[in-house]
Amino acid sequence: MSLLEVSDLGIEFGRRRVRALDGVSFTIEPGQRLGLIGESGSGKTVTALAIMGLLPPNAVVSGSVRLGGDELLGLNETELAKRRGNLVSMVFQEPMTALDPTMRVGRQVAEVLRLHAGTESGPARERVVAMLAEVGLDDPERVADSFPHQLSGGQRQRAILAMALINSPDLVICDEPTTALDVTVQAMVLQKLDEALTSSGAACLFITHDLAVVSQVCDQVMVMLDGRIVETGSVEKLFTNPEHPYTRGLVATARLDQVAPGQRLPVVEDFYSGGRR
Amino acid sequence: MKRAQLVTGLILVGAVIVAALISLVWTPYDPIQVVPGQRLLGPGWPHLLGTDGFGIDIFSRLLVGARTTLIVGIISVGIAAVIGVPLGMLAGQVGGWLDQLVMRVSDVVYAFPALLLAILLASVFGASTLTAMVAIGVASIPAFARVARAGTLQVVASDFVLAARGAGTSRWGIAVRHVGPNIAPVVGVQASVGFATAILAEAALSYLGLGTPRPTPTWGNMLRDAQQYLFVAPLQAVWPGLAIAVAVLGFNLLGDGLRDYLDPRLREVP
Amino acid sequence: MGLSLRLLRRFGVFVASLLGASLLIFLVTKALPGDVAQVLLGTDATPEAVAALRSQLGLDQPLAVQYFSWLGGLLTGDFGHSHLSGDPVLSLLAPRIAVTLWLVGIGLIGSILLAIPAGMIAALKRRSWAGTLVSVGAQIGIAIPVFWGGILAVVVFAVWLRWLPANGYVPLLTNPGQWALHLILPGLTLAGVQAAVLTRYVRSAFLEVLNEDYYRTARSVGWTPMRALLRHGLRNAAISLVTVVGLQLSSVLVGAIVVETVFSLPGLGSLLLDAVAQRDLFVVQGTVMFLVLAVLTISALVDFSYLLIDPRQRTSHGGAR
Repeated sequence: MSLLEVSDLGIEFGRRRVRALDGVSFTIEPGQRLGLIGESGSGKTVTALAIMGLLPPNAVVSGSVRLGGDELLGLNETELAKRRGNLVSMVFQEPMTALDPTMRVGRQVAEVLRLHAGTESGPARERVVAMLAEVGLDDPERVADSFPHQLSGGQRQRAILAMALINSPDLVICDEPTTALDVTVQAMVLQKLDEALTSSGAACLFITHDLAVVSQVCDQVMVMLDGRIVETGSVEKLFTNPEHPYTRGLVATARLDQVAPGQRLPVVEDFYSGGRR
Repeated sequence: MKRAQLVTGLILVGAVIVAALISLVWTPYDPIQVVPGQRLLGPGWPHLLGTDGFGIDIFSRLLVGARTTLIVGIISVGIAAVIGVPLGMLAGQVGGWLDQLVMRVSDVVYAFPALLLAILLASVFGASTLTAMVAIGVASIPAFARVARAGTLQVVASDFVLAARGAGTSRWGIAVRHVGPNIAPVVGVQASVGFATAILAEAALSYLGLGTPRPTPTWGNMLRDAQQYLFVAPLQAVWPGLAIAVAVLGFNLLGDGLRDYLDPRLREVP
Repeated sequence: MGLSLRLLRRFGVFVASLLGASLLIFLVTKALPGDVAQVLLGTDATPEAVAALRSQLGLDQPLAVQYFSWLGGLLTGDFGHSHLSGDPVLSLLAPRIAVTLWLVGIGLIGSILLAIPAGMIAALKRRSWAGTLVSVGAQIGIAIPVFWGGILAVVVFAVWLRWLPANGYVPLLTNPGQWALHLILPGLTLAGVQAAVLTRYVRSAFLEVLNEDYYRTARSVGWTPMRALLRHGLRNAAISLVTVVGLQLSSVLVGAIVVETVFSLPGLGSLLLDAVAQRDLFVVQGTVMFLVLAVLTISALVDFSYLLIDPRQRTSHGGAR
């Protein structure tokens, strides 16, 4: 049995029923890392929020999302809340604003642990500090006692990673986790994410618009365009033999090192311009 | 939903205005003349809402009260807007120490409750409609100054003003041609909300005996009279209060509706 | 900017506001048409008596000297004297402060206790009937003048149901039970009307929280909407609400003055209104100054507490924000 089974997922927004997602189907096996790539507005984040059950109330969802065999769509808040942070967790794009500014970071991480396990505060503290160290924070004790505004973006994002991983979920959804970070910090956070996922054996749905990033973490990739999945395959296959013209465009823009000096840099539109709404 | 707010506001405000206009040409009975034989009649016919402790028809007094309410509202909002808006525009356009000065002074006035100002004025000049209007008007200046200043800052920073300035338009020219028309909507919204505040304040002052005195009917002093007969004729205390609530609700809804209508950004995100 | 600098700056604003307000009060009283001494003594007073009173009140001094000697008096606790009874204003205030303080306290705390749950429901359930009901109720509540609310409360609970007294006051130490009974209606009236105003602020503060990333994070780690709002929204909303409550304070005080009249409570409001009726100018002047001082002091204290709730304000080495 697959860990996550998404089939024929469709999402419409508002009274005018704007279509955001159309017939999306994929599966994630336990421990598998699946990349989801596409430009902003293509429906990547909406897919993630649908799996989490965190879509805004004006969204109309159809199809099926099964986690560990249980259908998630139509579950009530309490049932969903039990799974979130425990079986499935999510890392968001914006580390600067994703933490509560009025609460110390250690407490926010410990809270996730206590929420699902009911652990006493003593051992919780130890596990929090250990988790913060595991995601590569040099001074976990100090970070735990800091307020979010006292930390850098990279530190915050790793604290959020710690929140997402501390209950050893089966699935971690990462929505552009490094996009808001500096390039040097990006590489480090990705490496720590890679290590942490490996050691916990969690599966991962990794969302990004950047092929280079996805190849560092994932082995399988889906390409999303205007709310549909247009191509699926291994990272290698996508790089060497992209089928869809849009994917070819993505690959060309990611392989700028292959552009001859003096030549105009390629853009996605050189390869694919049709079907845009 | 948002449009409903605007429409409801317009209907309620319209009702108050119509009542005031009718009272100019006709009231069922004399709203001032004491009729000793007809004291404290209940609602019915021919006295629709009954009579008060002086035997005067309550419905007639309510109609005239609408007029007093609107006049006090118009004049006090007028005072506040005529002083506050230019001050705010000046502060926003010139900036620097002048801005600081205007805003600090307006903070002081803002912290000074209108009622205390009215009490002070009433003790010095005697309670009257005029002292009430001046107190309410002066106390409302800061709200207008702030709104005008915020709007001005926004307009002055915009590209078209930069372009106009580059083309050599004077500060005065920018104020008249660009700032004025652009802040008019927000000032209009503030005027509507300020009107509601003024109605509440005037009613409170009349009720306390610090505003318009008898025999001129106002909704506030009608409640003051009615309170003496609470155990005998409690319904008397219902009508004027209802009238105040309707007027205040109307102007508040009108202001809120107008704000949402004018500024789509303030509409709630899904 | 460091915390101590912020505190110092806020204190400077407080002093400046106090000076501004005192100047305003002083100038308004100086605008009395005619001669104060003449007005106080009446038209049949002898010119000698008027002159004597003028010099006794310092009215023959230049305006600036009069202002500063009045201000100096305020600093030493001299808020002036009643010219009718000769009593110092403070001694007139003292026995009445408790009544007003109880009212303001009940009104403020009661309104917060009512408005926070109401505002949370209005924000969280804004798409269902419950939220709409609360929002509409608040809109209507704002339109109800506090004295009419009080009068209606008397009609319902004192006239019809006869559960509670319609007016009057019993000091706490004389009879605690009667004290509470007499404060229920005025206190709840004030709290209810204030809560309507506050609910709208609470609602928009929580609506803002609902759109924040940290709220989404809280949901994503397993909090239900209501618990996420309580756990991570309350404190953040409080930061924006503290300033609102500070501003509310002056309207609660004004409300208390009005409510005292409705329920014939012997507080500062009734003292003021009696003084106005008797044209006891110095009592009005002193009492108004006292009330303004109270409002400004408390709103300064509220602003200081703001610095304690928000950790970003407390530490000077702020991050990238």
